[in-house]
Amino acid sequence: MTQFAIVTDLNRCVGCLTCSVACKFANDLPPGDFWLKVFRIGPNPINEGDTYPEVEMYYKPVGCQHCRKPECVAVCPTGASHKREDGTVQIDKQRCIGCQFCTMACPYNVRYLNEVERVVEKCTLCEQRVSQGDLPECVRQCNGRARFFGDLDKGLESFMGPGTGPKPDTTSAADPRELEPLPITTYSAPWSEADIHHMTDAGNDPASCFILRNRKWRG
Amino acid sequence: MEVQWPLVIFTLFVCLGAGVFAMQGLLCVLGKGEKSQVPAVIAAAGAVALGGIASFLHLQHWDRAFNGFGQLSSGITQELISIVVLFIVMAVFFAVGRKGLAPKWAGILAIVVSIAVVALMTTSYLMPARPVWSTPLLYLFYFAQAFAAGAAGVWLLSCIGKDADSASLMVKCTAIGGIAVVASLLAYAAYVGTVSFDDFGSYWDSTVPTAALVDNGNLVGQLLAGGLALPFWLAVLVGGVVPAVLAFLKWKDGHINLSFAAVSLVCILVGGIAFRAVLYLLGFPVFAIF
Repeated sequence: MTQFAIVTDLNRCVGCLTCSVACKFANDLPPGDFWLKVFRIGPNPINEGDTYPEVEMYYKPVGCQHCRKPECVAVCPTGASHKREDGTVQIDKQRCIGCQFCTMACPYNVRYLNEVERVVEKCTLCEQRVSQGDLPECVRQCNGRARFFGDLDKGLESFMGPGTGPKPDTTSAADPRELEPLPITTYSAPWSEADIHHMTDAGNDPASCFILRNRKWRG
Repeated sequence: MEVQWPLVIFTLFVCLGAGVFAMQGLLCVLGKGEKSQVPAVIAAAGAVALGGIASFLHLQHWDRAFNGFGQLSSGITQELISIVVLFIVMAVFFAVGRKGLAPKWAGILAIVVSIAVVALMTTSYLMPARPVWSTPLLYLFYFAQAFAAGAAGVWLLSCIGKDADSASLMVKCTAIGGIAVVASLLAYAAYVGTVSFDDFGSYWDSTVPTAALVDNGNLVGQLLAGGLALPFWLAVLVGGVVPAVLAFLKWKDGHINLSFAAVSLVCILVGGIAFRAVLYLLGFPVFAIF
């Protein structure tokens, strides 16, 4: 079994928005539409009643969580929304009738109607790149080296982020800007199970996850 | 979320159509309603058809609608199948009731299928992603609505056909339906007070820097005395209290009263539209800030 997903180390995210912009660019999204947004959560009191400077905050990039039990797939009348063998949730635009029940069934509101094509869209986990062995664009472009891509069933330690040097085996067809991926452990400080968080589970079992240490997770 | 008007119209007319058919089925089981049974079936079928057309308007690519339908886990597919079955049963009821009172089995079938249609329609909106919708109280509201609208609809047809016996029963059912609508809405308001969402404290959306924070706190306050109070109380008073009072005024005598029946029906439908709009406006997802 495979379950591709993204893990974001929120202690490393600097809120530069590059992932969000790179996603729009790579997937040619219309103005005003986003497959990935970055939210600033906070500043909030560290403990109840605390005031500045006893506050904390973090940035949280949010897109499709490629759930293990996606309700958006269950409610789709035509099978346009489907779960692939690699665990990602995809939309076959040719089969989408634009009923938008999937947008209602998503607990995270990350699906929307493309007003031009009149079909529903969302993050594809850069299927066009991943199928060629590359990283999703939001991972590849992450300035803070906070986002990592991999197969959850092989463990978070197997997740990869962009490296610092070119791939040694680049072919003439390859993009020379591609960097040799490096494992998450190259960048991220050690974490415990208690540091791993998911978006609120409404029965959909979100796959993608977040690492947040020493701060209060706020959903 | 924004009010999805085609779906508001769809659920409203499915409740009306199924309600009228079920009430006519009830009269049939009791050996009544011969005069109203053909017009009732035609009116019920017309209402459901109108709802179906409205639901098609919600589709962005209706031209592809039958290009791959068939995912049985989908509420839309289940609704489609149940409505097709409803139309078949309506045709059977029409055929056996054309030249006299339909047999009791046809009345029982009408009631059972109508209940199933409303139940499946409601189930498709029970989404855990939208906490305000994810409650069995949604069944209570839609069934109360279907009962009240169906009773008022058949009351109206009984008045047109001057069938005092049927009108007498439908007056009582309209009164009970109105009370049921009010009870379901007040129960819903109480439930809304228990719903909670992810709480981020202070937050900021980098894509809409000047947007106001999502206002999904104190939903019961919004409902009872805030921004949603007008449609909510419209649903309670116009959609429930007024038809109940009108029906109570005709509880003992004067059952044949076209204007009372018509006003009751219109009020139930107006109230139904108002509360369906409220349901969409309260339909925040779990993670409400994307």
